[in-house]
Amino acid sequence: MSLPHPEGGSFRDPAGRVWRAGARIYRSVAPRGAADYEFVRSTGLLDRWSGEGRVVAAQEVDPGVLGAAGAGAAYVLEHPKVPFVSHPYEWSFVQLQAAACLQLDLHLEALRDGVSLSDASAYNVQFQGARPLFIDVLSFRRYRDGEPWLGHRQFCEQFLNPLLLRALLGLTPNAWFRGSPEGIPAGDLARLLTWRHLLSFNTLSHVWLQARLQVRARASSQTQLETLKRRPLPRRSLEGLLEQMRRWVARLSVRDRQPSLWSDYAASHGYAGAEEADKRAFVADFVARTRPSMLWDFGCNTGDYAALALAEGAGYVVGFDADHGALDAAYRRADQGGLAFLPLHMDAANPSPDQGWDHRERRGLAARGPADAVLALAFVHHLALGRNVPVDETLRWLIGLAPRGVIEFVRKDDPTVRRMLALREDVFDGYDESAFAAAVGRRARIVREEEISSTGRRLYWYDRT
Amino acid sequence: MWLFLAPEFHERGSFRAFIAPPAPLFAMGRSASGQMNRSLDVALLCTAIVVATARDSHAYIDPGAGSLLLQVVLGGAAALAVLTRRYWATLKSRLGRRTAVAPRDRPQ
Repeated sequence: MSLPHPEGGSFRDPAGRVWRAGARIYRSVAPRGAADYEFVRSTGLLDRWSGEGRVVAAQEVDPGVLGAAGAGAAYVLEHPKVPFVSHPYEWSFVQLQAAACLQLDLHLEALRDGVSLSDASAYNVQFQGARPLFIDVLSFRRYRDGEPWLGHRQFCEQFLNPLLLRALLGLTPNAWFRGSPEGIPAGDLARLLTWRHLLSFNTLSHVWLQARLQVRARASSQTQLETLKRRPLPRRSLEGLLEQMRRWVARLSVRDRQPSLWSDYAASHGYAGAEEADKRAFVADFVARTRPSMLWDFGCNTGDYAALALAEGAGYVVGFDADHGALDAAYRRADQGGLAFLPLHMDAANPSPDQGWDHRERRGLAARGPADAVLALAFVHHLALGRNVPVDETLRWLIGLAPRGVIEFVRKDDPTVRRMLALREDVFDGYDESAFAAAVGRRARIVREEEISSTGRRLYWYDRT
Repeated sequence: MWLFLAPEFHERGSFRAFIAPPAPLFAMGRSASGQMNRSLDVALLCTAIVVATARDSHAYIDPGAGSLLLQVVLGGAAALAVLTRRYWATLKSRLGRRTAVAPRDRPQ
């Protein structure tokens, strides 16, 4: 039984913290959070919501499971593990929107039973496939009469503003959000907006006006701030604000300047019908025989192969892609099909690092592995040729992520690669089939290989166990 | 236009009043001795009101002064919108029940 250690990202809320002990997840409730926890528990909300799959299940356990770490805890809860932890800056627009709507819906429902949410952190929502799941049960507190929406600023910075960047300006927020993990301040977004955007009452209020009032408040005295802190907000006003925000967020939609590069990949993927079938058969064979519980699909695009892998027996697929049009489509596929598929935004040449406080608050990609298997279909050349990462390095990285997988080799003279290199000098002398196979063979056993297109694309099934 | 919906805006007559506490609390020190007792009474009354509605803040994160001020500004309109929407929904459902008795042909 491993010693419990505190979860890196769980330290801000004094009401409790999350612990990991081996594969188990616990949450200790501190004495100062006990009264609110008991009240919320008595309403039955947590049980109802976990039954609906919207809030993580929580089971009270003996505080002794945490050993010395649990000394002094009023309660200890155990939660089931989320298959793959993802961060809001890795989500596509529709994912962030779904998470935002869940946050607001839970808050509104809670108020009917006298419960409120003390914060609105996007990191309190995780995904299981396409379903958002609220994981921080201690955020629920007894509603105090007159209490304002305490999480409003946080909601705007971590949910609303990233969504607005895409909906109003056609900009993908992920790079910015990742660099500023506590969110995008209203003041920064307000600077990017034009007068046309401010014709919307909602944008005018929650972005522009909030930013102006924040600046104004800097001139306030301590007394004035104390008074502001005590100023009551009627419950109906709180509900009104939440409902209005809910309606607005649900209506937002992507406004991109031009269609994304790969969103109509299906039409331009460079395969004739039969070749596509061969590729699918190879991957299906791999999955059926290895049965990975966790499969990482790099360059997952709209999720074709993720869906195939799930049908053939993979337990859970996490897809990574850098193209937002593809990701939005992949999420919709997962959502409509109820698939155990989580598509995430990731630039493989710059994967999510460990970050936040002490580099431990938000774990990077490598720290969330290893996977049981990887798929790298029509992927390696994007790094090796598109981004000049030496092919040997690329394969080392990929093969290091999982003990087995399928990697596709695409030749330099393949039509899609020729287009990628059209404006560049060919500096890739070391990029050919034999070097590729040798680089794989140095690190793993090649179980099966097959040429699957008339343009010389090859699939390699590697296994390093 | 929407600013006028905030009731506080009318009462205090000034935007700056949102971040300024009730005037009598500050007036206390400046009033002449003759009016001292009356000002003191008013000040005590205001303090009593503030204390009666005062809450301990349970914000463990910084809610942001801008956000709290915005909620003061929007609060009135938001409550009004909720009431209007619920009233309208009730009205529509009542009208719906009446027309259900005599259904109309709708073009497909």
